[in-house]
Amino acid sequence: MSASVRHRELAAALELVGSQAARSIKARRRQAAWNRALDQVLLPILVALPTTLVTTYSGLLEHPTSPVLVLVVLAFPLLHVCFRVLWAHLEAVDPRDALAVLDRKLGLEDRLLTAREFLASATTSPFMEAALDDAAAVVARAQDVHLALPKRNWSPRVSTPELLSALAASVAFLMWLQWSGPIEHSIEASEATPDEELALLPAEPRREDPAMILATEEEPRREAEPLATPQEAFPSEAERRDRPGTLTEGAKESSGKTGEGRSSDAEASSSASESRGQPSNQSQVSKPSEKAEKKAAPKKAAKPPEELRTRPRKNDEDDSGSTAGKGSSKGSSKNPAASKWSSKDQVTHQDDQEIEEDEDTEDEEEDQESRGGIQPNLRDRKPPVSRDLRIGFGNQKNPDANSRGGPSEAKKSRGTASLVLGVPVPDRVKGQPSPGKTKITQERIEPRPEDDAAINARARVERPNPTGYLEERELTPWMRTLVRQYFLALRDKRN
Amino acid sequence: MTDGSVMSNNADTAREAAEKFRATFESIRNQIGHMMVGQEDVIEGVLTSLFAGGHVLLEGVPGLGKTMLIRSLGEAVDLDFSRIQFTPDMMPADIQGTQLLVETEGGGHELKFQEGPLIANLVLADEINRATPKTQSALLEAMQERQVTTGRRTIKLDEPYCVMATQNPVEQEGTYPLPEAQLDRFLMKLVVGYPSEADYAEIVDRTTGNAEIKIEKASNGPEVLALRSVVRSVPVPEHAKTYAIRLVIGTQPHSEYASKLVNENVALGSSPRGVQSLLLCAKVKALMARRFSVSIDDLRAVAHAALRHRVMINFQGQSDGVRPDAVIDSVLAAVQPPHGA
Repeated sequence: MSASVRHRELAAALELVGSQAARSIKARRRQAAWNRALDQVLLPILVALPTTLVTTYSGLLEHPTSPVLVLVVLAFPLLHVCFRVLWAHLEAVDPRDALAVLDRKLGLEDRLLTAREFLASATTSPFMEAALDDAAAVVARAQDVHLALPKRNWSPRVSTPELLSALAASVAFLMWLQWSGPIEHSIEASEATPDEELALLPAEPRREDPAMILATEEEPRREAEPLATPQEAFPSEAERRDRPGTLTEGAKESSGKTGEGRSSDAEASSSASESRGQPSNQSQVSKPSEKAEKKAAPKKAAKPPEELRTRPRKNDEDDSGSTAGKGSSKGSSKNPAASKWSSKDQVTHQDDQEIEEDEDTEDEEEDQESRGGIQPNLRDRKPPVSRDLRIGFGNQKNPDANSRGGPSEAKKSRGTASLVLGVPVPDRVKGQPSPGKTKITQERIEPRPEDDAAINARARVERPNPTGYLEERELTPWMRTLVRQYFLALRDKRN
Repeated sequence: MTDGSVMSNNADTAREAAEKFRATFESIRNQIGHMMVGQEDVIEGVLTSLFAGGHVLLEGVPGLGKTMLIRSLGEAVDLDFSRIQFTPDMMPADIQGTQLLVETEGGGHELKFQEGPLIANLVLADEINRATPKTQSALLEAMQERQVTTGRRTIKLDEPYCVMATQNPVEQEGTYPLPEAQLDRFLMKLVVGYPSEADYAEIVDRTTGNAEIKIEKASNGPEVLALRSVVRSVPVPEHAKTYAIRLVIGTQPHSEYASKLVNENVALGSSPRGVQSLLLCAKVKALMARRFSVSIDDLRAVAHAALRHRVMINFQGQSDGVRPDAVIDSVLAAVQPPHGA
């Protein structure tokens, strides 16, 4: 017998075997689809049907449930079953799947499936021929084997927790019906015409229903509650006036003159001017502050409260031992180390700069005289050349430049002072990006030797005795968990 | 399809080749069995690697006969055998070879290339993870391209060429774990376990008496080469190929076929070399099972040996004690064959 004839016979045998197996597989799938569909619809029916019946006949609903509703409850599961079974009928079984199932059942190690693929292949080789011969020898065994059809019995696969939860859900639904009561309104409303709806909307709740009576009594209270909140948030003028610690605009104005109702800004500026050692006069105190307020009124409105809070720090600066970088004439006699570094942040605000302008001019003149002649006017010095390599500004001024440290916002610490470790140099312009005034504070502290016990060096010698067997302790499970959690947390933090 | 009689002859040729393969395989296995007691799986794995044309990595605690197994194989197959005991101070020139200044007969001197132990047919790389990465990387070219380059000289290695490396998983101090690129070049990684109680008695009898065990030559280089060709002739049906590809993709985290265990515990899955390794090993397995094509069962049987060294466990997996074998198990459970699932 030639090989081609043998191949045709093998192909026919494989087709026959495959179709038989496919029929069995299809029957199995159909049965499985039935069982699965019944399992899936069992639970909804168990919940929905009794609930519907109970609500219908227990009087929870005034109008009996429409048969249509019952049919709808039943129709969806039935439709689902029909769809699943129909799909199982229509779904074709791949012959390769059937042969693979036969291979596994007979322990043929894919001989039948492989033979089918090799028969369909365009190329051939001696090993493929040998594989086909192999399959031809075993296909007869497969013809005698019929895959057993599944039994047609169905046992519901609803677990007890599922059943209990379904019953609990139905009981909860019934209790909700009992509690909420007037479902007929919604049903009526849904069935009513627009005119009837309009008539139904303002309908008063019936007085004989105790639940509704309670509800109507509680309604005004519920409505009143949210109204109280805006009242609290925006109290009336009279209330604000009555509240302790609050001042009206009129009161502020009058107190501004008397000094009683001064705002924090006024207080800060007044205290600042007081700290400069100027004569403390009522009119002198209030005037500059008012002027400053007028000048910077739009700016101050946008300023955060933090800035306002930082105002009193000016006193600290002035109290500190800073030499102000313009001679020691303004430096106080206090020890610089006695005050905190934070108080020595030599930041001069724009407002203060304007106020101090005249003073500074006089100071500089004094300084120049003390230095032996006219010095270069440092006020008119130009900003340093920008070291920024960015493209885009050309010869124009970098809008971000602060005239002190290049384009960056903060002035850079540089020079020898920045190399000295442990000596913090407050060489930064804090807060505003505009040109600030920098003062250098020099701290006069003598270096002190620290006592430390000297350790004598000694030669390392050999261990006198062998260490012996070092037991590697096995970690207990909780320790292992602890170590793992620690490293996982560490890793998460890094990420 | 061509003429039927030719096909029949072709089928007979394939049957004869397959029978010859089985006979040689069994013969070498028996010879090694004279020296080695038990460890049938490991012996089969080493021979599979030899006939599939790949390299093999043996991992096991000391004293289980890893070195002896490779030495026995070298004796059973008439091949040029060399052994390299890797140490931390070993340099690439020590294994590849170097130029030596030698004295000529006339009293003069000349530079002569002295071949290193890497230039052989069967190379036993003992305790490979004790060498530095520099020396380990000297093996890469030999393992992949079958050639050794030293200076301006490139030496083609004779076929069959097989590197059989051993490493000890316990003594990790002073070792250099093999990089992924090197691990990927091994066809299989075999884990050598402790022998059984019955094997212990046989080991004691053989090794503490006066009897001298002699291993006879069961094959030679040309025959091994011919049998490698037979292995490569075994066809792979489409469904088996698909399954092998899916298995390899299944080892890659967040891939289509990756299981939950893989997604959570694997940092790096297998490369395409994993598919090649799976199919070559499965072909040997099919021939030994008297079949002429690869089946799903063959792929499942060799999956652990072919893929375990290509799966890199991530930090979470290491802290949870997840082993690569467990990952392969989960992949085998998750990935279904393309037909008859």
